[in-house]
Amino acid sequence: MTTIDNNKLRLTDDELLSTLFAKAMQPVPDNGFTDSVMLRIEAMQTKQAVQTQVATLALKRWNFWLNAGCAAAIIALLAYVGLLGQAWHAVQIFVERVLVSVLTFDPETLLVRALLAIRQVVETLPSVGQTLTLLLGLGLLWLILMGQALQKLAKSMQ
Amino acid sequence: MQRLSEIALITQVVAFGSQQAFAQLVRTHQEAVRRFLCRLTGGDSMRADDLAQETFIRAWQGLDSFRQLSGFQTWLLRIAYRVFLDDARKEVRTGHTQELPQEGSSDWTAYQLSAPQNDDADNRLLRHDLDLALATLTETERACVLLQVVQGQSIRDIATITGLNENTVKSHLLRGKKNMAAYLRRNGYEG
Repeated sequence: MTTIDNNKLRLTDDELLSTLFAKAMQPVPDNGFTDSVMLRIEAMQTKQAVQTQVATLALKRWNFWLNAGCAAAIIALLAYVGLLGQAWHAVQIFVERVLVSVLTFDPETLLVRALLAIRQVVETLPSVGQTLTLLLGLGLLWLILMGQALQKLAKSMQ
Repeated sequence: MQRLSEIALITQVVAFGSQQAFAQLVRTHQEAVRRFLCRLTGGDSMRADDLAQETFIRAWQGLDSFRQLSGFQTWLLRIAYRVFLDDARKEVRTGHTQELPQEGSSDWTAYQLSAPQNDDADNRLLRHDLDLALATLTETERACVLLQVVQGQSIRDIATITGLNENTVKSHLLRGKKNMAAYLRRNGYEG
């Protein structure tokens, strides 16, 4: 690749253009140009400040509802664990009783034991059912809370 | 000394957001930027002023990215050139392109009115002819020629401003100046 010699650029064309441009060149007075630039910058900064404020408020709202959502989720989780524990405890007692009945199996008392087992099942089932109902209720409550939070957030973003 | 005070002003703007310091920088460099844009836009001083305003606003927003590897004016001219290219592309997209007014036309009066009041008729004609000669060049050639002949920038700085490599700048300069001089000679200017 051939490189262009710098000296070749400084020919008569160069001189002609320099002379003509120098002749045509005039000072460019400010004429309020700087002031207009500074005014635009000031206006821009005010707009930016307002936008930042709005964005900060939206962020604060988002944080608030996120915290509310998280709190509701934690409460629901604790309740879930607690109630599940309760139901599990009832199931454990039932299994324990069944095991004891099997180990101490006596054909003479079969009818009595069968009746007792049915009774235990009937006693345990409502406990499990109650847990599930409560869990569903809590889930619903959490969903409502999150729905409201998201709705408010969407409004604040508008 | 001037460079030192310029650095001090830039520091004030970057560190404290000083509008006064920035106004001082605008006052110092507005002439170079507006002249460059005025010739790039074919003497449309209104459009050039709008683009110059946009240039300084972009400079204000991006001053913290100025690394002082090139001079402040070179950096400003680089922004100005980009602003001009963006505007030119927008005009092409919207199909709104401006042509230079012909002498004697109604636009010619407006063109003459945009010139400073103390300007004489010969100078106006010369500037018009120079604008016509510049209009025969491509945008890149025009920018390179103006940056060298009017702004006195070095080839390295022109390469920085236009984003081209130095050899490409040299070819643009060679071709641009040759075409421009030929046009001017054909129109009675002898060198």
